[in-house]
Amino acid sequence: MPPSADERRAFHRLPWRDFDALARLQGDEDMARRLRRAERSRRKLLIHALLIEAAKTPDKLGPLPPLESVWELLARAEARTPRAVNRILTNPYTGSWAGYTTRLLRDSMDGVSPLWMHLGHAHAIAAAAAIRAELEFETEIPVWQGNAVLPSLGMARFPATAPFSLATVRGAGGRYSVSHGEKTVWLPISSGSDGPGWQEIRRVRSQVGAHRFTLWLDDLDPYRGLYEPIPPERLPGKVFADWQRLIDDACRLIAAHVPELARIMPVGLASLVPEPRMRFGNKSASTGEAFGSAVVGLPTDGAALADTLIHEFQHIVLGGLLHLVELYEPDPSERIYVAWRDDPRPLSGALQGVYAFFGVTAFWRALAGEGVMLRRSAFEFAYWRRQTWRTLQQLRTDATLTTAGRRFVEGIAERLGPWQDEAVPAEANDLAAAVAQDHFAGWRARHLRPKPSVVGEVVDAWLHGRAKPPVTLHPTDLPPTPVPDGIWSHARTDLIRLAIRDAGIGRNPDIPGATDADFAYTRGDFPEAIEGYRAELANDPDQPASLVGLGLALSARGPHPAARALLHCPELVRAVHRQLRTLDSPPPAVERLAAWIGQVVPG
Amino acid sequence: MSSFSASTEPDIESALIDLDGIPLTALRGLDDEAFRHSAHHVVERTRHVRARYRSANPPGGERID
Repeated sequence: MPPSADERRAFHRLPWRDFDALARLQGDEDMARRLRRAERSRRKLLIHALLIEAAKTPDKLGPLPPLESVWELLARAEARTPRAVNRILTNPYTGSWAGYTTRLLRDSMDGVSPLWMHLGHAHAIAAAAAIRAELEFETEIPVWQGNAVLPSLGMARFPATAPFSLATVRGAGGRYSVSHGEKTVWLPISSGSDGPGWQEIRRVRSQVGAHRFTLWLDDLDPYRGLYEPIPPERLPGKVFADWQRLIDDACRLIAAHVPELARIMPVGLASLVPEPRMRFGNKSASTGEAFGSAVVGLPTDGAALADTLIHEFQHIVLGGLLHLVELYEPDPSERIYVAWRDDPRPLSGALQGVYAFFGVTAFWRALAGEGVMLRRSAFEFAYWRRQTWRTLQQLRTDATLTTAGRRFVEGIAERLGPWQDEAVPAEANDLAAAVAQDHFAGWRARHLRPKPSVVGEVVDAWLHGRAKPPVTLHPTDLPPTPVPDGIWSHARTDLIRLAIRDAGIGRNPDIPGATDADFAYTRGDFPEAIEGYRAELANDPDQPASLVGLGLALSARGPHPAARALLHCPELVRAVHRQLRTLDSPPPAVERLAAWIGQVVPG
Repeated sequence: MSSFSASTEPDIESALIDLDGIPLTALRGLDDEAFRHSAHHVVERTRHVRARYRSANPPGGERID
């Protein structure tokens, strides 16, 4: 009996050895290519479903030409130049457009623009493929506030006479134009340059030995953002040149120190959405619908960019894997502490972070191992190995992981575990421990709530003058609150990173939220820091940054019961002190209360 | 060492139909059960993407899946 059509269908498969290799950061280019091929299938399925569904309700198409012409143009382009269509399907923002518009169509909703504008982007995708295939054709594409985008190519700019309209794209005699009203914009004959009314999507190429990196810097595509379409934001030439320089620097570092990543990364990371610089931290973000892309803030230097590119590449790989295999059961509850965010994360986010920072850890480990930027690389290695391991340990026993998910986590652990014991300079370890403690204690103070009954017992014991609190303090079993109780300050961590990077800091007024006590603490003047935090708490005994700062400064001078309470259960100290402040009698100093509670807190 | 024997295990088979070699003209005509099931799978997964507009989190990143 001949096989049925169903039996003949092939599904994307993944050998377990590839799965294990990717978990262990030992993937190769072929594995990344297979993930990319799967993404193209996924996008074909979404586009198919979208066009079929939209064609059923012509009234949703507004002034657009029939979607039949999208199929026809794409098919012509594919028949002439298959790679033209492949290129368009590989464009990350084809994926984010397809996902976003699928959601709108299902719910019959307008988005940032009317639904027909988003559906009409299919015509723009087809037109871009037709131009790449050098076809003779004519079609219409959406124009948003005067901007007519041809994905992966660029944007024609027209006077914004209406928020939403259509432009005509023509291909004839090897020239391509976009017309709107009385104005026609011609695409340059050769790619690589802007022209009158035309802005091209620019590309940065970096060659390091045998490693070739090509990254698009897409500041035009409306679907390049995370949640919904965003307007173009053209980078000035000087900033583009900064990006070029930083990408060169980052690629040099990656190629020299993590060559295994240098081989696979160009396959998975194709496009960056540039954002303005942030002074502290490496700002970046990405979505699984835009496989191959990351939104990245202009970094401070090449090492920071290398860190971010590796981080985002890891997200992209895991996002691709998740489209092939379920690693966890759906569980949106925000319940897990992670060091890289201030808010509790769902398991999915925690796993993404572990995998991303596993890559980051590998990068800094390689630099530290070769003595490159040693103070900084040793600190970052010591910090990220510790913090990634901490969350990984929590994930290992999580009930929502599937069998494959548990295997993936164990794969990470096989490599990350032994790194915990590798020697690093004592300063790096000490600072990493202090920064880790600072964030975790701050998170506890802001996101954990002790049981009201425990708070009541401790308050009662204090008011009765007992020598010790009546409780053995167990971790609270109440879930963390998603919204922080008190604003966050990262001043101490920012100051420490600045000191490591710049070999010493002076008084820097630009650091958000930094207090005199923070400056004293980070330069190692602990007595002054203690006095400073005491003064801050006398003024506001509820301030989490001051509570934790006092704990850190006291702890730096040696074992101290108040430090133990302020660092291990600041949420209890805070809750008890809050209650004491509601009574008629004057409340004690927070430090005194913390020292009393700290008697029963293990060191 | 992993206790799993990756070399002898059958591959992971995803719910994602392999269309990489299927021309668009042929894609339009596909309507068998396996294709419909796979299309339904990817369309349904778009529901899982949830925007978290609460993310005022300067040092942290954002990852949406």
